[in-house]
Amino acid sequence: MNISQLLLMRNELLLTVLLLIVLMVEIFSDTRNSKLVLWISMTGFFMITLTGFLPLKEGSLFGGMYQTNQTTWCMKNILNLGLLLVLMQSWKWLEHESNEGKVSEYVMLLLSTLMGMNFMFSSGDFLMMYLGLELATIPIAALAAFDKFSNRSAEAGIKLILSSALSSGVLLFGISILYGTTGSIFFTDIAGKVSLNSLQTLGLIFFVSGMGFKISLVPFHLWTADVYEGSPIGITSYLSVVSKGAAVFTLILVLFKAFHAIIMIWEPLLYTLAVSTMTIGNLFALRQNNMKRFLAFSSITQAGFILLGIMGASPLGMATVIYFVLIYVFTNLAAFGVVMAISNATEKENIEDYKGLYLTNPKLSLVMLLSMFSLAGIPPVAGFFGKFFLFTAAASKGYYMLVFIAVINATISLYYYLRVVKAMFIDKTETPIPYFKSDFPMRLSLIICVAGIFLIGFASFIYEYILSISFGI
Amino acid sequence: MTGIFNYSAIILLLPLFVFAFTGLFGSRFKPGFSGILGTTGLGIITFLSYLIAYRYFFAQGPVDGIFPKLIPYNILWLHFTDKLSIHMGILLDPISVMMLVVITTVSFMVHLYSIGYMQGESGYVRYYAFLSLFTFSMLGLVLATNIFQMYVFWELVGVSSYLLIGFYYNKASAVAAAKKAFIVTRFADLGFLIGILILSYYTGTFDFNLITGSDQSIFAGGASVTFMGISVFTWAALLIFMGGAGKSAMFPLHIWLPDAMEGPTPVSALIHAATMVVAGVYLVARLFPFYTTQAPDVLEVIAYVGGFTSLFAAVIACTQFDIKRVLAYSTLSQIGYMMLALGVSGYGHHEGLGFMASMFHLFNHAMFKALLFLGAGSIIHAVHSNSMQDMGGLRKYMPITHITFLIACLTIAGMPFLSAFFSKDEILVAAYMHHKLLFGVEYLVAGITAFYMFRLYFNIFWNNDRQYHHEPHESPAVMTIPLVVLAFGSVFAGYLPFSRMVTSDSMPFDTHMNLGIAIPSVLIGLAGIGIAMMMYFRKTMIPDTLIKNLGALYRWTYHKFYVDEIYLFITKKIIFRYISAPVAWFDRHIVDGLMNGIAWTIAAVSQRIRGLQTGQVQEYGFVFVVSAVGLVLLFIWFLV
Amino acid sequence: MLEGIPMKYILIVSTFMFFSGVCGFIIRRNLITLLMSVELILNAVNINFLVFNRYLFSDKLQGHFFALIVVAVAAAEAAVAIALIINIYRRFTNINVEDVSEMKY
Repeated sequence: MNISQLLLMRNELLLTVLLLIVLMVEIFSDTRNSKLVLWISMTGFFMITLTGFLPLKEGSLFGGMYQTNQTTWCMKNILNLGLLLVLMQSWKWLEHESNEGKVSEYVMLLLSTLMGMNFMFSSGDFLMMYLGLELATIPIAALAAFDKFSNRSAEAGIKLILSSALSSGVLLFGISILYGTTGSIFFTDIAGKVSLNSLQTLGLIFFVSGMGFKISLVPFHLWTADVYEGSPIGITSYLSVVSKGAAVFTLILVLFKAFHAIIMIWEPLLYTLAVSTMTIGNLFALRQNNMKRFLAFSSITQAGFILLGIMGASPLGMATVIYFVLIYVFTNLAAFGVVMAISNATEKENIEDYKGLYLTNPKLSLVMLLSMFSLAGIPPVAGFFGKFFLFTAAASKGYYMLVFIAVINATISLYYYLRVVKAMFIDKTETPIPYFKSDFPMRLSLIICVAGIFLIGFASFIYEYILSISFGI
Repeated sequence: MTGIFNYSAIILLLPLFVFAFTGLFGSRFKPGFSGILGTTGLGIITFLSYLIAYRYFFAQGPVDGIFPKLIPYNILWLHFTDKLSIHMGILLDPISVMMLVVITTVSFMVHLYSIGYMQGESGYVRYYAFLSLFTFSMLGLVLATNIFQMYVFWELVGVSSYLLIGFYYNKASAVAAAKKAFIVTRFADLGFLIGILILSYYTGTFDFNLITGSDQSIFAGGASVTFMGISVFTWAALLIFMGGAGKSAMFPLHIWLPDAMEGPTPVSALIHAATMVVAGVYLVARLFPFYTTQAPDVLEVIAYVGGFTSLFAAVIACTQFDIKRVLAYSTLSQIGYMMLALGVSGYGHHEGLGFMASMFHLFNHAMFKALLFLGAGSIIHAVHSNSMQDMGGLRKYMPITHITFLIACLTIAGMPFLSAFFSKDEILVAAYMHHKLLFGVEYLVAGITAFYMFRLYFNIFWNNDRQYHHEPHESPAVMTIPLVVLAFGSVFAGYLPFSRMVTSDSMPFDTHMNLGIAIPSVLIGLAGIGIAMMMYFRKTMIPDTLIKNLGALYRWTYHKFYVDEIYLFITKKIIFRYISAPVAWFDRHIVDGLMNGIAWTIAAVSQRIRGLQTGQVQEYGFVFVVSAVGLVLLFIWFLV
Repeated sequence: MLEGIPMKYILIVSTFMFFSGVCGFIIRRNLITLLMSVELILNAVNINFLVFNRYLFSDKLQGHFFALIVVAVAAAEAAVAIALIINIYRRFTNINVEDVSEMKY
């Protein structure tokens, strides 16, 4: 191994460097200057996102514990993009006086979680994956409790850390059983040795539950709504988009790499989880009034759809999953961006508060409309293509019944997405949210999201590129 | 050779451009500008599509006895898998060219008409933007070269219809109607989507040319595969028809259409009478060879669904007082006719008479139903009410509307030498050849249709000469000109040699009038008109002077009154109460209630299960571990 | 070291520890105790890793390293969790888990 090989870890190394720079600035600047930290971290992370798109060699490090290839390269770029948008949307909130002197913490914790996620995709064994997973989870719990003066924020933090500790305990138990039965923690070794037996079934299911916790699959989802509601909105959107996307990618990579020999176990398992996730997510989303809680359950439902792509168990399946997550990043961040802009201006977060929004803030409500249509999967916005491809992937394996259930759920979901649209465009109120102008980074991020929602569906080369780098089992 | 056909892209792109321009910059100009821009754009593409139709059907004509399928554009859009790729293109064949003419004509008339009708509305610019969007999506739908492209535009049509029905967004009923229309059709579309997935999976293609081509080998892959004892292609055909039934408002998915009348009346004319609602008919027609070869049973289903809907809707139409609702149910009934005609049709030459008759009727229906709606709009514009109880004697105030409306009513009643006379006759012949029961039902429906249309007509234009607060006046020229143009269409469209243009296998053939079927149908229509006349014409038949005179005239009046009582007894007390009213009740409460019931059940379940989310982190942990262990036990039990 | 003790006895202990941890997590009321229960789960896992390594795959040390890392990560987790518990104490003035349920349904 020589130094140039370390460049394979380019993204992680750059994140570390930026993290240290922010730390240094924090330590050595006297006036706890939020603006400075913000500018440094924003430019720095923007550069990282750009560098991320430079081509990268394939290879592995540390005896196979760390691997990179085109697929992980693409996944990392999607997540970089997600975090960049989240940072842009958090800009104004971070400038607020209540966050004075805490900006660097926010940035550093987010950067370290992103690094953890990058290690998760690039892992070649369970140890690396576990480390990445914890690095991606623990700081988020601190971030969830970021608002020190809010009961709900504190509650969100403690709920997240305790549940995630329990779930990683279960996950680890599964891994230890897999280690005991196969004699290795490397995916490639395990792949050759798993077979249909009770202990390995247990190991697999515990592993999937642990990941299912991160993805918020029903019945491992219970923390989701509470944590989403209590956390600051920037963290909620980060959890629902970037963190969830990372866990989805990890799940599909590990299932394809390590467990392809026992697909007959995890396909029915994912079938069960997909059905329960879509249905329960929908049923709960129907009756939410808080926007963040509503989006939490909507994101649970979306996670159920993603499982359809994983069950495709083919390059097509993986491509549809990556493609869907990419679309989901833009779509959901558009929705959260609007929620955040409104919360910054008025501190209102309930669906009823959005009544008459179209009359006062037409642009924001149009962004929300597009996002809702995309989440509901209405052509021609990107969300439709994402869903359609997921369904095709599942249908290509002959899961018609599942596709049928998914389509029914997609139709039900339309109902509550339209509820938001109805509140904004149709309902009348004496006291609508007054007109306000959101800050520049927010507007820019929303423009990027809208462009994404429109273009990704139609720019076919994106999908074709993703298909070309995907692999099956 | 293609020459003019290359301009077909303009037909598709111009409305999109107008939509984008109006949507983005419309508010910077005077409101009238967007109306003029939209109408001009539509005028251009109407002209172009006439040119294309002329070239396609007459100047170029059939090649080797068959009208060719032309594909001026087909751009590879998504390379999906090796087998499956998605194109975006334009397909010109007899039915799509015919639809092109229908859509552009009606849309152009509606654009023109709306300049007058929508004047002074606050959302004028928005309205024209949405109209252009709708026209674009509808044209994209009919010109699609493959079923995926069609689905994309199909949904886009749904969205623009949603936006237009909910145009008066500060009116609660309009909003509810828009939502209902959207959700019901989306529900139907889920069948469509699954149908597409099944079809494309087993045939490996989305392309209409391959699916409906003569090469049957693509169906080999799924021919022997069955699901619940029925072949997968039958399932696919059935599910695709479900999508079509939703858009075309076939029973029991029809519930959205009457409510959709909350939209502005020109929109109802365009979307809910002439174009969007026939998309389902068009879909079946588009895939017709597939239906005849792979799923003949589904055609049978289509025939019965169509026949039932036509009767059901016609009966309900007799009870409605809202003139737009009468027209809505009449639309349902007429689309039922078209579906029935497709269902009873065979493939090729005279066997395909039903197909040709269906397309013919679609064409004629677009003309006269758009005319009826625009006429109704003109009346509503004058009277400011939708209810026929607020109308009467309008013939004196609105002569042009009156004459054109009368022409449309005569046309829909199937009176000789008007357009629908020819198409209806051919549908009846096709039904007669196929199934006597359906044939009988259609005879009956013909009579009921004539009755309720003239009930409408007499109630609006004759009946009692009431005093109006504001003297009704004839609409401005921009509104009456479309009426006159469409009236010409309704009268003369029937003289087009349709069987030499649009047929199931694109091969021209000749049809003949079947007098044995046509004459009774005219007589039944006349009987319907006669009954309507006796019931609703009376108050104006007796001028005031006659009422003042007593004696023989009085007795005559009295006697007439007596007859009327009998009529009233038979119709109101027996037919309405025991037949029409229960049917209407069934529609409103059972069919509608079923749909609402589903929504209600989901909401109730959602309310019940809230206990799962207690907010206690320990319970979350408990559920987590129990589920994980439970899944392990379950899977070990079943799999290992 | 553990000559004479069959592996399955040790595994029984570790499994028992795992489920004790789960039970503790579910039934105890104090947040600190909840945290301790989680530690119990993690230590059960550690025993698993060590015992598998020692008895079955003693040619490599993967299990040992895994256990070491789990210990380190558990410490980090506990640090953050305790910080958050202190935060809860400030906001709610007690650390009773049942009271931390403002958000539900």
